[in-house]
Amino acid sequence: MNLTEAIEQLNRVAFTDDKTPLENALALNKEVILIDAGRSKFDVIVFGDLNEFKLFNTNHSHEAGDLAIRKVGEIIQAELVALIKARAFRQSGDEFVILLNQSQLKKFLSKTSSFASVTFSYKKKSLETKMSFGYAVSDGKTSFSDLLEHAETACLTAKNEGDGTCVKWTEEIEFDALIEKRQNCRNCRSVNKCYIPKRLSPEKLKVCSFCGEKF
Amino acid sequence: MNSDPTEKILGLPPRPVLGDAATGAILGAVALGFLTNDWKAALAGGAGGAILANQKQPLEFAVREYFRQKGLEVAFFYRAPRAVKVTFSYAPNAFWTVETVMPDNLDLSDDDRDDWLYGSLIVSALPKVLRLINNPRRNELNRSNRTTK
Repeated sequence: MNLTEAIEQLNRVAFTDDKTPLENALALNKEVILIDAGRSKFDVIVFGDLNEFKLFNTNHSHEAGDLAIRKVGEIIQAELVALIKARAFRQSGDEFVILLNQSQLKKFLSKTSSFASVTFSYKKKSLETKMSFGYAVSDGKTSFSDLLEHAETACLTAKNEGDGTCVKWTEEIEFDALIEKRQNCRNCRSVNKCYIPKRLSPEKLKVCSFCGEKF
Repeated sequence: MNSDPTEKILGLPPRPVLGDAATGAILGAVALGFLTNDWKAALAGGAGGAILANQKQPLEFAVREYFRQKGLEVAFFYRAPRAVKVTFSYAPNAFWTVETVMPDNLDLSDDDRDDWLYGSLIVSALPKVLRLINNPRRNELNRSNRTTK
């Protein structure tokens, strides 16, 4: 490697994720500026994260969790970036963002089942991680952050449908999406937390499920 | 600080000097940020090759180089003030994590501490893990001993 190549590598490193072969959040921010200005070639925002990742970390250690992120990143790189020419980023933690244009969508949807079971061996034990996706299509008026929020909502629905699935955001999906309701009990100090469909969601929870005290 | 780069630290081998590494590996390390600002400044300022060559390799660089020479791919390098943890791949799609922790009663300078962590990792911790990897029966026995305790 000569000095020029080293400088090129330095530039690459600045925009490459530290855990996967994908691009990092800094690189995504650069593309977001173009998307919001209507100058990006991408009009489909895909969001995906690992299913039950916290439990995976608890059961198998954070080192195994890092490996799960790495393995998923490698498959995204091989299946979506190399083959479909999508751009893929690890946003943070176990959250991934993939950018496509609508002509690539059919191919992308045919690949998501690869993420129903991602396996690797850690300390001679076979481990499995899973992922689901949601996506939103740009109408040319909605900002990237709103599109990403829509994709995240669709991803929650996808998780209920199964591992390796992908769901398109629609207004109906938004309406049926589960939202988190949280209420701290003053009486027993428990934290009450549950997921309720947005359309059925009350203003606040009514009764503490631990001590029966009314909120 | 240990002034002789080849002198052992409490019986453990210190990190190799930079001159032992290939030029490509050094430039790659600059780009990947394994070398600290002092190293980068020395390289950018055209410091004499001999001066650089006699400097010790930074800990992460030294560990990665050692694993590479052993044919093991480092997936993740985790550093704590008195510990080092390395997750590596020893076969396709197969990983293990090796760790070394400095005892509380050891009080060393920063430089000697990095030497101790390097030496302990390659002389003590890694060989133990490699024996487990190469001996599945022993691995099973260890597991059953743990569950019967």
